[in-house]
Amino acid sequence: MASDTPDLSIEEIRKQLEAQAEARWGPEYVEEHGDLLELAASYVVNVGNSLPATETEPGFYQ
Amino acid sequence: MADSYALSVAEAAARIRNGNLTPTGYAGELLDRIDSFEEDLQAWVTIDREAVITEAKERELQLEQGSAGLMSGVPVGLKDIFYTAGMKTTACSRIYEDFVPEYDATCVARLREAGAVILGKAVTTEFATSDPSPSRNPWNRDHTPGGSSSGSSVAVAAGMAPAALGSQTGGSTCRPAAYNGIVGLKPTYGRISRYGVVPVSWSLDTVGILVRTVNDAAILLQAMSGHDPNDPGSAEEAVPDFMEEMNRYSGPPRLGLLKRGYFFDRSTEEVRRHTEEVARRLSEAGATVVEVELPPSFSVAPDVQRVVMNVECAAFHEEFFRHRADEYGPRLRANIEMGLLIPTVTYLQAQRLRREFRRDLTALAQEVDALLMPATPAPAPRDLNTTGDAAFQAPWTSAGLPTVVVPSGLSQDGMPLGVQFAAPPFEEGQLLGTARWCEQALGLDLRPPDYS
Repeated sequence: MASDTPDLSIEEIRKQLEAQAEARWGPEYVEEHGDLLELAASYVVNVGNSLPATETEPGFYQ
Repeated sequence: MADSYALSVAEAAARIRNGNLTPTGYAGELLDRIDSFEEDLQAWVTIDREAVITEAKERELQLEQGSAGLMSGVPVGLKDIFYTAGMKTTACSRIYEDFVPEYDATCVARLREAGAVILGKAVTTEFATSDPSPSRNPWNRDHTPGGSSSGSSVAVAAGMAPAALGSQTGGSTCRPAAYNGIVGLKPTYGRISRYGVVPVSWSLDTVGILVRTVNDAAILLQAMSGHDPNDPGSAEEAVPDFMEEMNRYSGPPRLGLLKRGYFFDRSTEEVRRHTEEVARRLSEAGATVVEVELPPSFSVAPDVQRVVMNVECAAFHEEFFRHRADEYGPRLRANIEMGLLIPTVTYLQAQRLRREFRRDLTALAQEVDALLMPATPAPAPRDLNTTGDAAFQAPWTSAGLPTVVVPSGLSQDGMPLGVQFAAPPFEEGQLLGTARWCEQALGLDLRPPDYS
């Protein structure tokens, strides 16, 4: 599948998730849950980078 | 004559109708087996012997009055996430440990209407997710029975119940079925109501059926299928006569073997060889086996399933979790935390991608009578700290297509192996007819030696 949006960076997404996790559960959480945050970031990136190109699916309902 | 514990649902129902087996005698024998094996296998949370015998007596009375349902007098176990009026439904969690529902889940009520006797509540992993339960695999107690429908699968494999209900959000029915050497059916999403079922993820959760024959899967499916306005995900699709539909697929089928890519790449060498051998045997028996390839949209299906499951799971648990996070098991806790962190837009895009691969997988499944693949990447791991790998189920659950697992042999270390079939949405008759033909062609009767 192709996407016409630029590829999301896993590092960028992970930083965003770390910031959210720190705000919710504190800095220790981020230190102790590196694997979970890495996995979550990979899901976000993979989903984001798998969206159909707009010429294939320009509308959400097609 | 076989001991009654070894009877299939169809055989037991026939004997009961013919007066050769009484519901109370049958239930009593199963309760005695539970007493004998429960310490070893830990399959049950709640058994109310008195209630079981009372319900069995009611079935006897109904039969005397000439009222025989599809499952008259046949006991069924329930994963402990199905509401049972007046009986605890704990989800094997601390959060629900004292919860006693006031009504039966719709599917439980429909089983009772068909004449089933509710045998008890079977062990589930906590909230039907991935922290292992105490249940043990009857083929070898050092191996996981899988999950999350662990107790239900163990009970059926060890002859403590002829049938049990499970559920599947990722791989929680078909994977433990494979690990325990029994048949597991995950119907089409929406086919069976979830009203009165403790949820994991509302757009994925599917009621599952655990039995010892494909025919029995059809009997339970018939008893429970149909629209329920109480479940927003319940389909309005007409319910066919599944036996009649199966009979339309009683000849040698056309099977699409998913040999290249995802399923074989993730399997052990032993599972790859075994699946090829199964395909060869089915072909020799008359099936047409063609190789088919997964569509490109499938590649993101496993990740989509995790995103949707974790976000919806977090939404369901959010309120409890805010105040009682320490009462959750570590894996469920991690799932919820991940769900709380994943962006809303990612969740919505995941749902969008589901539509795409559901469409593509449906088109692929329409090319054949059923798609054929290994049921699991490997047999049940020798590790009680895991419930195994749901990778071969999760994409189908996410797509909503029906799948069934059929036992197909034993591994070198004596653990069950299985194959999985998939068909287009709402084509369970086609799926089960095809699987029954394959089951008969393979001609196996797998039973765990210590419990047979």
